[in-house]
Amino acid sequence: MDDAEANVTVDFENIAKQFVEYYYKTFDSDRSQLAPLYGPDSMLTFEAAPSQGVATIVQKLVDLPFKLVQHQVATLDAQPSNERGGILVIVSGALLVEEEKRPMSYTQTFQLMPKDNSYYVFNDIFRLVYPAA
Amino acid sequence: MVARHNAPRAAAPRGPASQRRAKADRDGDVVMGVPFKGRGAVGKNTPTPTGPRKDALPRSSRGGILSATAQREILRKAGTSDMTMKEARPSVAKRGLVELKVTGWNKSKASGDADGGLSSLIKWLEKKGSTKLGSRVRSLKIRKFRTEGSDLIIKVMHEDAGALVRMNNYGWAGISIGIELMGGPVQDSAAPSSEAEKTKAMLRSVLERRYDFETKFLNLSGLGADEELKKQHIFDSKSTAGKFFPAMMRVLELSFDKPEERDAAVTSVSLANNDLEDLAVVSTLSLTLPKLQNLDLSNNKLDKLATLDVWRKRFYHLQHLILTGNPLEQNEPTYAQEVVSWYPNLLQLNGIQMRTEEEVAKKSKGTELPFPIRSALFQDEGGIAEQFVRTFFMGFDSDRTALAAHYYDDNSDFSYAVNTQAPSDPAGAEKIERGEWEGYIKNSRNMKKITQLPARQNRLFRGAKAVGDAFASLPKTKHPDLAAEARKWMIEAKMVPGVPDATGQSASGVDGFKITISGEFEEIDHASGQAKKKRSFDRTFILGPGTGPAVVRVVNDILTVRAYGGAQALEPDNAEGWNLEAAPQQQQAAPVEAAGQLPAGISLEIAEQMVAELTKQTGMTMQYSKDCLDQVAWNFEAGLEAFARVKDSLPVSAFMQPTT
Repeated sequence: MDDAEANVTVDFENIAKQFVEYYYKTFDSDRSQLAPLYGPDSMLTFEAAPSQGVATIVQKLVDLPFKLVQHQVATLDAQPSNERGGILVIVSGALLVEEEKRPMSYTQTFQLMPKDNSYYVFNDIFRLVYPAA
Repeated sequence: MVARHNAPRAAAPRGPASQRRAKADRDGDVVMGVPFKGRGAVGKNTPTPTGPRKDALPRSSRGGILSATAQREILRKAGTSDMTMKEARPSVAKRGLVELKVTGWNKSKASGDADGGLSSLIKWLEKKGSTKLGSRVRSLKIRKFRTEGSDLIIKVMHEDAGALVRMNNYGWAGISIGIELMGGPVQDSAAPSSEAEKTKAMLRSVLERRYDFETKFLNLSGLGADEELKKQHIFDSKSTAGKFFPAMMRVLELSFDKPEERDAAVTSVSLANNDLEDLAVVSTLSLTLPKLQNLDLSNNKLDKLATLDVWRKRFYHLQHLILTGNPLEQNEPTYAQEVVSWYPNLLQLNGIQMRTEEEVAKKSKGTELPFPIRSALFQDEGGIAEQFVRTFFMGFDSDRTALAAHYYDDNSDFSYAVNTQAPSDPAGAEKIERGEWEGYIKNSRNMKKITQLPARQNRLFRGAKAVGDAFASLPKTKHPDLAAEARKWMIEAKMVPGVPDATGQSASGVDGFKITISGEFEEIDHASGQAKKKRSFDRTFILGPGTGPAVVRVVNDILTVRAYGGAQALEPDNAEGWNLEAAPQQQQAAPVEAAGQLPAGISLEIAEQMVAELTKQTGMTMQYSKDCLDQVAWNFEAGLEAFARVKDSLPVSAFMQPTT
């Protein structure tokens, strides 16, 4: 693998990592600020409920019935996935809401697309995969 | 070729239909076991199975079921319930033998036999005179016989005389034979008295004559040419023609004590050669024999698929349907595909194998949960995504090298990460042990932990070979059956643009699928073949159009493995328990708008009320209630009756889950 290709690899992996860190930091502090990460053609599927477009998606996230929330990322993996420079990002981790001590497991799949020297979430699928005990 | 590799098909179709073949009695009375023969064979000179031979009748002379003029009221009382199905018994002494005279028999085709055809005639009389149809099956025995000149005198039990007298003028071995009670028909004490009884007896005799006990075949083909029905002028007027069939179905129903007996006794019906333009006249067949397996509608005048609509959701058990010789064959080039999709158990259409029994078995197992999907969240096209999921996990459990070669190419990526922090199922017995993840950790590409570039790169497997090797390094697995254990899966699929084009023709990429799956698997011990550990997993695929043997190629495959966390979270009903969002409103939204056309007089509003009410009364889900009402043309009472009939065979998922 030559240097140029290696750099590309570094790039998408770091982008994925930076994105995930930023996304959950924003989500956990003030999720209404997630708007810039989505675009008009973005699609969120949150626990089987689909939302499309920035406003709808952010509204959906803001309306979730909890105030305090904390995402704990356990795994993060990414692959280049799209002809236009897209990145497929898979996260698994734990979700703590309100004062609840027992975490819920979730998995989230992001498809990131480049746009104006940055990236936005083209596709976002969130699923809880472990019950609140 | 994973799919073929792992899904051996039966070499030859099996099943009731293929076991039956047309055969001819010694007496020359053709008995066709099943009306269904291959394409081309059906439709021309299909012999009339039983009863008077119609070969001599020119086609043009046949009256269609709907054709004609005149005579009325003969069937007026036929459909009413005051008819009993007890055989009209002779009112005189029941004991003792009765003598009957059989005439004309000695000029038959069988007259060349050593005994002049006598023994085959006796056999035939006994067979035809027996009560084969109904709960009180009775076989007729001719106790004694002698010849007097050209007449045959037979002696039978008194109660059998009526059945024989009704066979007067039946065709046998090319001729028509006469049967009368000795002393003349005036003393025919077996004759039914009232008009209704007469009609009932006539219809019953038609059914008996056209029913083959051994093959459970009721041949109602060419009814317009039936001598007995013609004699009764059944088809001379539209009103009698329209009443005739439902009345006959009523008589059939009354012949049996229980619907199960009826279903068991008649598994094949032919309605061929009846000039049917639609199914209006015969639609009651699906109510009388809902479990029919073989149905012949060949050589009618059905010109559109729409003409079959009333039976579209009926005959759930149908295995073979014949539609040859109908204009719809020409008018609707894709009719076969459509029709097959209507009947989940259909194996053959027009004698051509459409599905194997294995395929049907697989499908029917999951009828209530055909595929573990969240309906709207599984966007598919031509079943491609579904097929991929089915094949993939089967291959992953049995032959990963072949699987990798089938779906992956030089540009396919696979990586996986182990989530060692995920909690295990609180209710489960699975314990996290030391070295728990030994089989996985070497190649786990969790970028939270793997920060060095070479280490990350080494754990991203590109190309079919590398992917296959990585697959092989993972413990052997067994995933739950997608159909039988659908609740252990959560699968979503979405069409996505911009998937790299393997052919390189489209720089901006092509449309593909993104499939996300959560589920579980068992690790199988290599040596013993025993399951040793349960795991949960989440897996995402990006699929593009295939360039090789497969329809699709895997572009991306990312897997996360974690401790077994139970399947509760994957069950749709539990999603509500999360409190993360308001309970889904699916149950409240009556799915009526998705229904086909409602009958006149039933507004959407009324339909929704009916659905709600049926759900309330039966406990069925809205969807099942709707389907149920749909099938009975939105007749609420009929819906309740239909429910009562099938409730024991409905899957659990047909009912609302108890709310806790």
